[in-house]
Amino acid sequence: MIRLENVRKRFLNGHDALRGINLHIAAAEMVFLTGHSGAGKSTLLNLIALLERPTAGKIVFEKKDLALLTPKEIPYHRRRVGVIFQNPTLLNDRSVFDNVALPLKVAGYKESEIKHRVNASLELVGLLHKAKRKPGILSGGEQQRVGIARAIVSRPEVILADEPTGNLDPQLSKDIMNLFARLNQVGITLIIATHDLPLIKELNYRQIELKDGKVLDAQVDTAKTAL
Amino acid sequence: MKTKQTESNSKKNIVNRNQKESVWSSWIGMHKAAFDNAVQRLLLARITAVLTILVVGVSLSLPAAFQILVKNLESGQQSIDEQSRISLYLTKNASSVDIENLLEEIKTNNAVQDTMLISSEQGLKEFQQHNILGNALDLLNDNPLPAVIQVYPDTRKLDPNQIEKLSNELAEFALVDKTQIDVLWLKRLFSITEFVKQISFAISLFLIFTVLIVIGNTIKLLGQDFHDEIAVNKLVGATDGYVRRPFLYSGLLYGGLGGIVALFIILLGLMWVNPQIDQIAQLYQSQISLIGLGFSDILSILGTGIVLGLGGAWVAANRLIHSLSI
Repeated sequence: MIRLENVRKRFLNGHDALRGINLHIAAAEMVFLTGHSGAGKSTLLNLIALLERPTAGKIVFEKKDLALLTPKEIPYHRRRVGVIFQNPTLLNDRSVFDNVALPLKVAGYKESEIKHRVNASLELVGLLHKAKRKPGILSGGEQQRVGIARAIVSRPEVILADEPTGNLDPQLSKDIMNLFARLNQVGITLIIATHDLPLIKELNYRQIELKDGKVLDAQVDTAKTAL
Repeated sequence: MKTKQTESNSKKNIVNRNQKESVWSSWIGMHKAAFDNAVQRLLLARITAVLTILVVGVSLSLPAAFQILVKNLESGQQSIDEQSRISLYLTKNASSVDIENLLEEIKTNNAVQDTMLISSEQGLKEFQQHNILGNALDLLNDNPLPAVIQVYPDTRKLDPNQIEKLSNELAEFALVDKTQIDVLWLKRLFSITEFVKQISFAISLFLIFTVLIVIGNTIKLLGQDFHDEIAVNKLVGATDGYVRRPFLYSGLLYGGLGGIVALFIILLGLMWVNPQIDQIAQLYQSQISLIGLGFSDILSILGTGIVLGLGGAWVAANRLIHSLSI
C-alpha cells in the first residue's frame, strides 16, 4: 500500500528531519509510529499526505510514485487519505456538522448522502448530539473527535493520525483507539503517530520507532507478505 | 498482520462513485454553492463590498461617459459632413460641351457622390431673384457670373483632409478657375473628436487597470479572511478550481454590480445634461439632441465590469492559492 524508499527530508533551515527511511505498510494494516518529539513522525505523515515533498527518496502509494503526481492530481490523492492532527484545524464560523461535511462537499457528494455520512461519522465519535454547535465552544477532546470524524467521513483508504489522543483523557483515548481498530477491521490502513506508549502497549499492532530521522528497531517484516 | 485484498478497496471506490451525483447536477450544485458562498462573503464584509462596488462603478462610468461623448461628436460630424460640398468656378469662356465633358469626368471619380451644375444663366437668375447687388447687374452688358459645378463628396469614405485633397485634385482641371470649400469647421470638429477619442482611450486603459487592482485587492483581503478555510479545504482534497470558484463569483458580483452603478451614474448625468443641450439647440434653432445609452452600451458597460471583475479575482485567487504551501 505505502512504501518508502530511502526517504530524506531536509528543511530549509538545514535541519534533517528524515535521514533515509525505508518502510512498507501493507493495505489494511494498522501501525503505530513512535519516538520522541522531533524524531520525524509528523514529517513522515506530512510526506504521505503530500503536505510536504521529500528532499530525496521515493514514496510509493498503491504502486504510484507520489513524486510523479501532477499538481492537479494532488487533491485526488488527498481525498484517499484522511489526516488527523493533534491540533484539529476546524473552522470556528461553522457548525460541527459543516466542518465534518467539508471533505464530501469538496468531492461533490449530494446533500442527502452528505447528511447521512456526516451523521454516521459523528455518531462514531459520539458527538452527534453536538452537530449544530460551533467547534469553538467544545472541549479540546471534543474538537479532536470532530477532527477525527472529518477524517473518516469520506471513507478514505488510509488514515494518518498525528498524536490523535494528545488532548484526550485516558478513557477517551482508549475509545478513540478502539474506533481506529474498528476502522482497520473494515479494511482501512492506519498510520498513527503517538508517544502514548502505555496506551498502545495493550494493543497488538506493529510499532515503528523513529529516532533522529531514522527507523529504529523496525518490525518491518510483518508486512512482507503483502504489497 | 491484517492483509485484506486490495480488491475490496477498489469495490469501495465504485460504490463511492454511485453515491455522488451525476456530473451535470453535481456541477450545477457546486456552482450554486460557490455562488451562495460568494454572496455570503459579500454580506459578511458589507462596507468593504459597498465601497468596492462604488469605486468600480465610478471607474467604469468615466470611460463609458467618454464613449457617449465620442458617439455624439461623431454623429454631429456626420450631419455637418452631409452638408459639405466643393464649389468649382469654371473659366468664363468654357463652352457648354466642355462643361458636359468635365461633368462626366468628375462623376467617374469614386470619391464623388453627386454633382450639380449651375450654369452662368441660372446663376444670374438666382442673383436677380434674390435681388442681390440691386440693379448693378443690369448695368453690365455681359453676364459676369461663371458657371459653377457643385461637387458632393462621398462623406462616408472621406474625412475632411481627404475632402480637401479631392478639392485640390479638381482644381487641376483646365476649365476650373477656382475651387471653394468650407472644411475648416469640419476639420476642427474632426480633430476634436480624434482628440477626445485618444483621451478616452488613455483614460479607459487607466481606469480598467484601476478596476482590476481594486477588485483584485478586495479579493486578496477576502482571501486573508478565508485563509484558514482555504487551507482546510485543500487539506481535505479541494481542487484549486473548487477554492477559486467562490472568489470568481465574488469578482463577478463586484464587477457586475459596479457596472450597474456605472449605468446609474451615466443615466443621472444624461438627465442633467439633456435640458442644457435642448436649450443650446433652441438658441441655434438646430435639431441637435444627445444620443443616450443604447442597448449595446449597456451590455458593454456590464460586460466590461464582469470581465474585469473575473480577471481581478482570477489573478488574486491564484496568487492566494499558490501562497499556500499545501
